[in-house]
Formats: sequence, C-alpha cells, structure tokens
Amino acid sequence: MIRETAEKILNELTRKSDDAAVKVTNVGISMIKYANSQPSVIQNWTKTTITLYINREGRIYVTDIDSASPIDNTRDLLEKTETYRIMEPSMYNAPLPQPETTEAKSIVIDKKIIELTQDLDKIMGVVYQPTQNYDIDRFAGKIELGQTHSIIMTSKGFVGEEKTTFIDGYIRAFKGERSGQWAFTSTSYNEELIKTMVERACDYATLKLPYVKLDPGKTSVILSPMVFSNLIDYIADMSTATSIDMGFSFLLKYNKGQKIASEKLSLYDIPLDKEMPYTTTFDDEGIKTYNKPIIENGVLKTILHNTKTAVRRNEKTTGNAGWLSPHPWNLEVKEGEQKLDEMIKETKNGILITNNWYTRLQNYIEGDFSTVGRDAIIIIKNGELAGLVHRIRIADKFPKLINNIEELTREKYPIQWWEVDTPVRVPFVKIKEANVTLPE
Amino acid sequence: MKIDKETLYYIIDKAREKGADYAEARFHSNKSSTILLRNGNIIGVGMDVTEGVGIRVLVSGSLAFSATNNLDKESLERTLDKAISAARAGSHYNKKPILFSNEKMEKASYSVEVKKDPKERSFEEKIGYLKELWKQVSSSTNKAKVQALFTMYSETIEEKSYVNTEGAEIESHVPRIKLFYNIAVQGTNGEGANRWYEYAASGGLELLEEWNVEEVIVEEARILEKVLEEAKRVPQGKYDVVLGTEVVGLMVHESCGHPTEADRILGREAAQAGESFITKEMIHTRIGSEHVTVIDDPTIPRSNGYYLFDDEGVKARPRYLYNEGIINEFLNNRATAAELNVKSNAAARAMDYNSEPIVRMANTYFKPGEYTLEELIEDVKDGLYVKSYMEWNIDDKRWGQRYVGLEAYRIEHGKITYMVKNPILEFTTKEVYTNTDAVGKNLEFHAGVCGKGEPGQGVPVWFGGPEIRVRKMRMK
Repeated sequence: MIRETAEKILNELTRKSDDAAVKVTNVGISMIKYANSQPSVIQNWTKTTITLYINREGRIYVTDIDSASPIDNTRDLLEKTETYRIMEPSMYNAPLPQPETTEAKSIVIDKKIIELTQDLDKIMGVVYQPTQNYDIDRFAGKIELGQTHSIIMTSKGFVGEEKTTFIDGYIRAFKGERSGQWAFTSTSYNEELIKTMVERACDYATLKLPYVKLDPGKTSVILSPMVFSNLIDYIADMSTATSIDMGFSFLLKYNKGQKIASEKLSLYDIPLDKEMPYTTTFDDEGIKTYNKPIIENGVLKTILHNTKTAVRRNEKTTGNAGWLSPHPWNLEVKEGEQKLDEMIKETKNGILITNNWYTRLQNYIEGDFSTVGRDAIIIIKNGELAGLVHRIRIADKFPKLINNIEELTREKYPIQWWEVDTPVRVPFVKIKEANVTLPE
Repeated sequence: MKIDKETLYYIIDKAREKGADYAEARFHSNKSSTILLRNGNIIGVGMDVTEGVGIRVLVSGSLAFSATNNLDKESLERTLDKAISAARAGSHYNKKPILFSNEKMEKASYSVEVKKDPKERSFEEKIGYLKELWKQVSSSTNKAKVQALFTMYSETIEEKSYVNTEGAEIESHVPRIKLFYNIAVQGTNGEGANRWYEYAASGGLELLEEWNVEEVIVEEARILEKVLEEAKRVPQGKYDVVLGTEVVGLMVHESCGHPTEADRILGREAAQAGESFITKEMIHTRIGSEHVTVIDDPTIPRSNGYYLFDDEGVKARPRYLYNEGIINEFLNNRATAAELNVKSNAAARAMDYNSEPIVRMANTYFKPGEYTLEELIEDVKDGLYVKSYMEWNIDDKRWGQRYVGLEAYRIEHGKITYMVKNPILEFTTKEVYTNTDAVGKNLEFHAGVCGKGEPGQGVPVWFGGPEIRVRKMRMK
C-alpha cells in the first residue's frame, strides 16, 4: 500500500522536476507515561507520513506531509514551485546520486514488540513490576514501543524499503529528596536492558550517602552513559557539514585529520548496528550506509555529508542524507579497559555525575557550554563514594573536555531519552580538570 | 483538508456510548512555509503540513490519547477505540483516579487579524528582503569577519476545531510570522563568537516592518565584534546588576512560569523536565520582594503564545503567578485543577494534533514598574548591565539558574564605562527575586519555542519584561 502511494506521488513529482524523491512512512506507536508510580497517560499514534524532495532547475524544496490528503498537498506544493522559479538555484544544488543498487531492504523486526503493542496491559507491567522490588517512594518515566515501515523512491530509480521495530524507555526513581534515573533503547525486546534501567535508577535513588558540601572548581569527573551520551549527541550533531556551514559547530575551526580529542576517544556513526533503532542500510538519497569513525583515537576523521554538502566541499557523501541536512544515524563510543569500580577506585578526588539536562552553548564556535547535573551526583574521595551533592553544573569547553578524557569503562549502555535524540551506545568516561560550578 | 464539526461530534458521542466518562476531539492543522538562506544564498524552501485529529478520553479515572491523520469516520472510530482500550488498561494500575475540574464550557470562534497578508508580498520581495540582511551584515564590521549568517523565515497558520462531551465547541485561526538568525563572527585573534535570536508573533507581514531586523542585525554583528575585540573580563565578585529585558523575560519564563506549572508541582513531568521547588503548600508564600509581579497572559493581541480558549475549551485570562513577591497562582489544566481543588486557568495547550494538551505557558512577563533604564543605572556604584545572553540553563527544580551575558557592560558610579566579556551570573530563584529593588517601565517581549512533554512538544511563547535592578549578585 505505501509502495503504491510512493509511486503515485513520485509520478506527480517527476512531471515537474529534474530530480525528486519521496519517503512514505507508516507508524504504529504506543507510549505509556508514568508519574507517581502509575500511568499518567497512555498514548497511541497510527498514521502515514510523507516527505518529499524536489529539485526543479536547481531550486530545492523539502516538505513534510502529515495529513489525510498527501496527493492534494503534493499538487499544492508543485503549484507553488512555479511561483518560486524566480529564486536562484540552491547553494547546495546537486543532482540526486545514481543508485549503487536499485532495490534495497533494511528489515529489523522483533515479533515480540509487535505482540506487545497489541497488549497494553502487559507493557504497563513491564516497567511497573520490577520497580516493586525496590525501596523507593515513587517512580516516573515512560516506555515506548512500535514499528515503522518506510519506502523511499528517487527519480534516479532507487527503491528502498525499511521495517524497524523499536523499544525505548527511562525511569526516574525517588526516595525522599534523592533520585536516580536511567534509560535504554533497542530494536528488540530485551528484558536485561529494562532490568538494568530499573535497577540503576532505583540504586542511585536509594544510595545511603550523606549530602556534603562541594567547593566548585576544576576536578575529575566520571560521567555516566546518561551524561556522556547527551554530550556526544551534541558533538556528533556539530560534526555535520550543515552545522559547520551555519555557524553551529566548534569544528568550524578544525580540519579532518587534526587531533581534536584525547586519543582515548573514538566516536563512530553506526547505521549498520541492528540493535540500534535508527539502523538502516541506505540513506534518504539511496546511498548505502556504512559505519564510520567521526573521531578516531582523538583525530577528526569524518564530517558527515549528504551528496549536496559533499559536492560543496569536494568530498564524497558519507551516506548520512537527510535531503537538506546530513545527520548521524546511531552513535557509539569505543569502550576503554576499566570497570566502573576500578575507575572509581583510582579517583582520589572527583565526582560521579549520573544524569544531566539542559545543555546549552554560549558560543558554538568555541564550544563553550554548560550542563546541569540532576539525580545522584556522587562525591568520590580516595577511591570511595563519599557523599552526595545537589545539582552542580559542568561549565566548560567541548574541545577541552574531550581532550581531557582519561579513561573509559569496558561496559557500554545504549541510551536514548528526553535529552538524547540520537541513539548512543557509550561507556562511563573519566575526564580530568572539568570545571564544576554551583549556583550558591 | 478540513474536517466538519459533525464528524468531531460523532466521535465524542461514540466515546460516550463506549463508556468514556469524558471525551474530546480536536482537529488541529499546522501549515508552514519556510525559506532558508546562508550568507544570502538560498538553501531551499520547506513547506510542511501537519493535520489530523487528536482524541482524548477519561475512562474510570484513567487518561488516554490517540491521534490519526486519517480523517474518515472508520479510522477515527478505530483511533477512539484505541484510546478507550488504552484507558481501560491503564485503570488497572491507577491507585488514584485522574479527575477533571468542573468548568464553564462555551461555543466560540476567534482569529488573529492580519494587517498585511503574506500573500500580498511576492516571493521575490521576501527573498530580496532576506538577501539584503546578508548584504548589510557582511559589511557591518571593521576588524572582525562575519563568517556566516543563517536565516530562516517562516509563515505558519494554525487552525483548530475542538469539541468535548461537556459542551465546548471552539474554533480558532492563528497565523504567525517568524524570523530566526544566527551570526558567526571571527575576531582578529582567531577567536569566534555567535549570536542567534528569533522574532515571532501572530499576525501578518506588518510584523516584519515593526521588527526592523535589517537594522537590528547589523547592530548584532557589531556587538559580536566588540565582544571579541574590546570586551574585558571583570573580577569575580558581588555586583549590583541591571538585567536587560531579554534576560528578565527568559528568567521569568524559567523560574516563575515553569515552577508554577501545576503538573510539575504534582509530579507529572518528573522524569522529563523535572519538578518544581514550589510545593502545593507554598501557595501564597513569599518568593521575592514587593517589586516582583510576573504575569502569564495568553490573551495579549498579536502575541506568539496567543489564544482565547485553551485546548480543553476553557476561556483564557491573565494569570498572576507571582504577585508583589508572593506565589499567587499556579498554571492549571482541568486535571491539576481538580487535584488542587481550584478552577482551571486555561493553561492546556497542544503543539499539534499528535500531541495531548498539557500545562503550558503562553506569554510570560515581569510587570513593569516606574524607572527608566538611566535611572536604574544611575543608582549603581559598582555593577553590570547584562543586556543579552547566549547560554542559559536551570536545574530541574527551577532553583539554580545560570545566564552568560553576551552584550554586557560595566557600570561604575552610575555610568556605563566599558563592555564586559561573557559575565556569568549563577544564582538561585529566591536570591534574584528577593534582591530585586527596582523595575523599569518599558515592556519588551522576546519570542521562543518552549519544550515540554513526552513526546516533546514545542509551543510558541513570548517572554518579556522591563529592565530590572538586582542588588549584590554573584558574577563569575
């Protein structure tokens, strides 16, 4: 059905364009949002959405249609492109690429997830039941699962079909004034990930440590995968060609091949990892995707491109289209050699920050930012967890922070939540001389 | 494709038949066209349509929401069935039922007047206007180099048709114009800086004329140049600070609007944007000096957060959140109002048809006082004037906040003496409102998109105020 819709729309588009592409997506999603240890709302979405790309004499149009009348909307759009012919060709004008293969499929389906979407009672219990084993006052969070089915067709003859299931969630557990939070993401139902999410959130909320005073300043920090994934999401976004072009990236000042981080840091874009929800074997231009380093051993290896941004820089696409802007698919940071316990034991003075939010930049070009810690923020003294502090900030520079990475753990966690858009698999990371501030 | 009201009524009637205690159906259409440019060169044009029906039901004290963009009756009924069965499933886990407050329901229709219809100006003219911005900015600096100007201009129309089982029937039509820019400048020593800002309001092209962006943006580039070439760091310490309208607006949004959202206070957003330092017992207690009054008013004509009825059919009015330093009123929807045993003050908003209505701000502002900016400054011996910011954040209880000044000046003996580089203000909510001792008389609004909810909903808001003077603030 969606293939027919895609064909019909592409036919409309090709009549009045030099290059065109269409993506038709069917989604069926269920989400349970929890607050005060009960569902606060249960939400469902079932719909078909359409995204169009038109290149008419070098002018580029991209449209998202989430409506009941996509064909009419498409015709309206085509009519408007008549009026818009007076504008000059796009600075990113380039033809859609000739496909390396005309048909491609990317199918990652877990039947258990499809079954669960039909059984809301069961989904609710998936999170609710394990929380009952912990001595917490209450929990909040969400569990979301569903499937997407997409067809991409381009006027160059490419047809790609994508089917993916996904499940992600997060829990924030409360015990008095203490709290803990953890998240996970996956393409398949995985009880271990759910168990870890509940366990970590509840363990952090029930730490029997006293609140202590902290002197702000430079210190070693261990960032949990919740925090590290948030910062990595920002860095990866700044590695796209359009972020650099629009003045939203500290990488504006660097070139590929330059050392920009500690050699301990290797960051990869991993579209082919089937456990991560944005997995795909082809991008929106029909180009085969591949796993690639963005930063490897501290060296900037890749700026993420689609065909258009690549042409401007005389480079090759990296299979990260986005018709207008390239984007990472899924991200992974290479593991280190330590266990978390060892990392803590080797820290004389430092802070373990288990969660954060509200990362904002003062200056994208220099990478000046701050982010606010939340939930368990644990003081480490002489290799031991020694106390808790409230809501500190890390206020620093991205280039400095990634240069000061000292070690990473062996264990990694797949994270996606309210503060992390792109699925990221990351370890704990230890960073020296991070600048920590307090409002008081 | 617009849906007829009869279909919406059909859905809520069916909901009643199927056992819902309450039901609402909202046809919600957002249409936008956007032009993107970099350094005066066109990137492309975006034209987006989001249009469908959101259905919300209460069954046995359990709330569920379903949405679809398939508008035939069968599909809508399937969507309703999903909502009802989801609510039933949820009720098995509900220890405390969700209830809605009793409210007066009305039938009404409203729209925003457009003085200059965007259709009256040709596409060529609009492009020409945007290209001119780059022309102006690129030659605006002396020493520093303007590396990039990204501009995004959009015209949107939001239309809603809403009915519920308690007799509300509301139609609305709100057009908006928005202009966003980011300027990146490199100084002579290689250091870079950027400034982004957005103008947005409801109305037509008359807004573009009022905003005067072509002059503002040149000044913005020159300010960045001064920050890079001339601004000096000042020693950390306590200073009297005059906060500009942009900082004041954001501050009241973050540390008055958000913490008075009753759903946060009651824990509904606990795992996302967090909770609040305010507990329900803190109503009518002091948070600041008598100079501090903060109002959230959806009914301000031509505002970005404009509405006359919320997405639960309740009539909007100004909400006095902090009144003369006292926590006066929370932002409530019908569920939080019922839990707190008060009336809803019409704070329920949904971003689009895919989104459940949740408690939101509209246009939040610090109530003006009597001082001119000069008068605020002349009574400062040793201080700072922080006019604009780039970085800001606040903790998830809305207590510890931070703003890093972009355009900021040193005040010495009642006079502005030089530009200060990136002063960092990090303080608590109580501290800043308690230390406020004088309030300016002008009122300026700034536009933004406020994020909240799960899935995240970004709704258009204004935040604003006059300049205010705050004594003895820590500067880092």
